[in-house]
Amino acid sequence: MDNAWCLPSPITGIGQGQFVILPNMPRGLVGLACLDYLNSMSIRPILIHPDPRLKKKCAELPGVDADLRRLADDMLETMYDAPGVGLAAPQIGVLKRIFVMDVAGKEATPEPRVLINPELTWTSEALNTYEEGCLSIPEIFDEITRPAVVRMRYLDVDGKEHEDEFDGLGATCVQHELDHLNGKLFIDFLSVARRGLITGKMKKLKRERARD
Amino acid sequence: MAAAPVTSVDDDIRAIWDEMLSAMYAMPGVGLAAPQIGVMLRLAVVDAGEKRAAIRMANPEIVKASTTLQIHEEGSPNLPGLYAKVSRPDRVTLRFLDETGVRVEHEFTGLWSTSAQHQVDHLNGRMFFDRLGPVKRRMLIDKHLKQQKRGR
Repeated sequence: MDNAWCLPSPITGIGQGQFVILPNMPRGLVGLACLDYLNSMSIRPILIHPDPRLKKKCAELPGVDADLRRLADDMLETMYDAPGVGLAAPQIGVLKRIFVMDVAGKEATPEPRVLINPELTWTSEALNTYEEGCLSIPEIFDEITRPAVVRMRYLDVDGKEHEDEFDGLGATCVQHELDHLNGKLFIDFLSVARRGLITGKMKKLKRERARD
Repeated sequence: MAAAPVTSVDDDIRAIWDEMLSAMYAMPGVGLAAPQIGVMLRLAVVDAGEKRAAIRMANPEIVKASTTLQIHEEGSPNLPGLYAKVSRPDRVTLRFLDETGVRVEHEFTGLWSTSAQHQVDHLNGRMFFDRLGPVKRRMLIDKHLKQQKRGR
């Protein structure tokens, strides 16, 4: 920790003490112990489908810097606030290849992760079906079948390369988020009719929100 | 599907314009119509200059168009990766409500003209490929369907 202001013994730190999660905080109320970061971090508005920014292939990040770490912090805060288990940068209108996730259960210790320039290096032949939802398509859930286990290579917020294996909800989540970076939504796996129905619902939702 | 006219320009409308502008600049693009972000209202923004100087329009309609045409390669974020050369008047005058709700007329030339007409098309439920001949149109749509099938 390079910041004396931070509360002691954070369970999880990302980078060098920018983001501190206290063990007993309920989800959605992630404790941000550093006062200076408390002021700078922010919950960003989540784009709702349809939006051209959600259909765009995002650009590779040339490197990791302080701005990117700030973005990652904002994304995590936005994700926990929603609440969701994953959030990709285009969902807050930033067209860059970065997503955040936390698939630890509601009661478990939070496990925030930041994945930069992620790519799949291996996918299992075995498939898994999960009921997926998306913060950009609120209140819509559908069963999507994807490889059950995947390996993904990515950079963390310190620019260090990792290659990790994901299974269960983690596998679904990383594939769902990677799709976002390629301009693809989970409803693109559904039939044209179902997708049209969902898009219609979202347009209605936007109309209602615009009126409020 | 045609978008509905707006009755008056208020803060809600101005917020939608701002959202449209952030979407447009993020793409980056030179224009955007509200239906593209799922808002079925007759709102459009255009900014085709070097410096940022967006024009916000409500209920735009073309009142004058030049007889001379220009060809520009057009695309749309709703059909990623698909582009076609479309021929349109190189100069048009649009009448619309501006951000203060005042009815104004503005002449667009060059890329501004192409984009403004492209946006008015969107508001009338037309896409740029509707301006193509039947053969080119078919080819473009087939290409799109093929991309969709591959899951892009």
